[in-house]
Amino acid sequence: MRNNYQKKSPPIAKAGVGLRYQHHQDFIDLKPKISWVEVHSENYFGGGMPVNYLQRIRENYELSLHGVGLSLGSSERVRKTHIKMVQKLIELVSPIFVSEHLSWNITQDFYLNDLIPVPYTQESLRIFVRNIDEVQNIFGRQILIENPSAYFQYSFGDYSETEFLSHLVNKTKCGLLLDINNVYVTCHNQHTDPLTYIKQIPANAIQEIHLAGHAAKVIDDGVILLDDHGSKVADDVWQLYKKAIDIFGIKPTLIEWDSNIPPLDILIKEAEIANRYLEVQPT
Amino acid sequence: MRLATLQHLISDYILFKQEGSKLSEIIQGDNLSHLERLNIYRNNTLISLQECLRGTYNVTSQIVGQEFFNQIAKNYIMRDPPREGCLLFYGKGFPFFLSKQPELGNLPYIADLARFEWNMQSAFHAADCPILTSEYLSSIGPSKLGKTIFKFHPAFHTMQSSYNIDELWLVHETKKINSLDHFKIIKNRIKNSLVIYRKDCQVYFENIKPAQFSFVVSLKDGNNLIKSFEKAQSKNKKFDLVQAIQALISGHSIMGYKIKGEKNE
Repeated sequence: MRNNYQKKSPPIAKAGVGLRYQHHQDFIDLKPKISWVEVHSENYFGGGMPVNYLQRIRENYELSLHGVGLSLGSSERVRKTHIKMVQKLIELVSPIFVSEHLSWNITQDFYLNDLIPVPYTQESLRIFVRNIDEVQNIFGRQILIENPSAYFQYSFGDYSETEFLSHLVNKTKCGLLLDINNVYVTCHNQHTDPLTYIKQIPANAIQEIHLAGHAAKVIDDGVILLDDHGSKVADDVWQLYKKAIDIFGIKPTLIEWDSNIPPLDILIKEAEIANRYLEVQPT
Repeated sequence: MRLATLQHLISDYILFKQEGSKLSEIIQGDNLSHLERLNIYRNNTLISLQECLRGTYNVTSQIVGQEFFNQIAKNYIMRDPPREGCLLFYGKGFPFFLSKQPELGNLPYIADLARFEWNMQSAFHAADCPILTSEYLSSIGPSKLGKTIFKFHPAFHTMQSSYNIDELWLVHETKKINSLDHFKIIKNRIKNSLVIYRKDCQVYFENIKPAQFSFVVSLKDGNNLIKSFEKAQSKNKKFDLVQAIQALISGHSIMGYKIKGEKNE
């Protein structure tokens, strides 16, 4: 049965930061002035110190759960054990958002620890709808689906990525997590226009925005961008972000930084830049 | 092509099981070949899993060297890729895999060190469970105490090694360079008996006496208190049962008990 899931109390359209192990104690000691934080759900599937920190930080900050391991795009069904672990975490921290990816990484019992795009076919749509429906029914809430970064295109497909996302939203009532850096990286690598992508995304479904850094790799005659989340947000991505919120309004925005983790104050400064963009927009 | 078939082909390429020629007409992009594009995902997967293993086996990787560790980790990943979308407990088979590597013959202690690091990692991330307190334990009547079988906390581990790998680990973790230079790995005739446990979110390890180790292992194997006490006494007639139980309770190592022949507690 498909429902229109109720959101938790509306999150503030301000900037948050990804919470990493390295910054746990800083959050306890310094209590940085940040609106909310986001964690990778799978990092807290155990117990002990990580979960203890999470609960203590949750006392002072709103929190979002961002997963990488449900593999909603797998032709196989989503693992019940994994769903249960996320459900347990949801019950523990009452997150403002629960999100996953428009991708897959599990097949034949193997987990690939990356996020691989699917061809945007009717079969893929059917599979995503089946998997998202199952997960939302068990969680009793809406989940957000993040657009992927991609380093290739498939030679076949029935939809564009934005059409595919629109169909997913219509069929499952899921929300969207728009990763502006992923839009920029994918469109660069596929020689398409990121602003056209932004204009085609179903704006009303966007509940959260991600911003992150990327790396550029020179290959023969060209440059491929890699979504490594290992640096400050690039100027072009900030510009695309500004255009995006001009088009569909302000949304809660998260600064992601997953590799080459800097001191916490660097992340906070990135969030302050995002807040300046958000503050000049009419609500 | 059906999605399942496509995903199997891509997965097989990323995990070095296939050479990817069947994907040449399916994976597209300018400038780079289909394999160069797929290699981005292959490298992301490989490097992140190598980093995951290095995180667990940090001291092991320091001793064998980064380059060798990367290669051996890659071989392990190809042989035993993760089966779950959560990597907190990935790499359990790595110590055994190390023990079968002929290049590590000059480091006979390395598999034991890796096993120790695995136990520490498992203890750190083990699920939270209620702890049996001494008050609760004292509520078990004396006539039933001997029949008690304990359920251990998932963070509690036991292991033995002929080598002083616990000291080796500590020297590397505390990074006292002088200590490292003067440190000697020693092979003992009597094995070091280690318990690893978690208390108040901190992971501890202790080198305990053979009788106490025998007692703890017997309890963990599901034997009742009397039988485990007898095993300990066979090693040391003066084995102090009360002290041994107190050590387990104060170490938050026991999460429950049952009395054989009665309903589970």
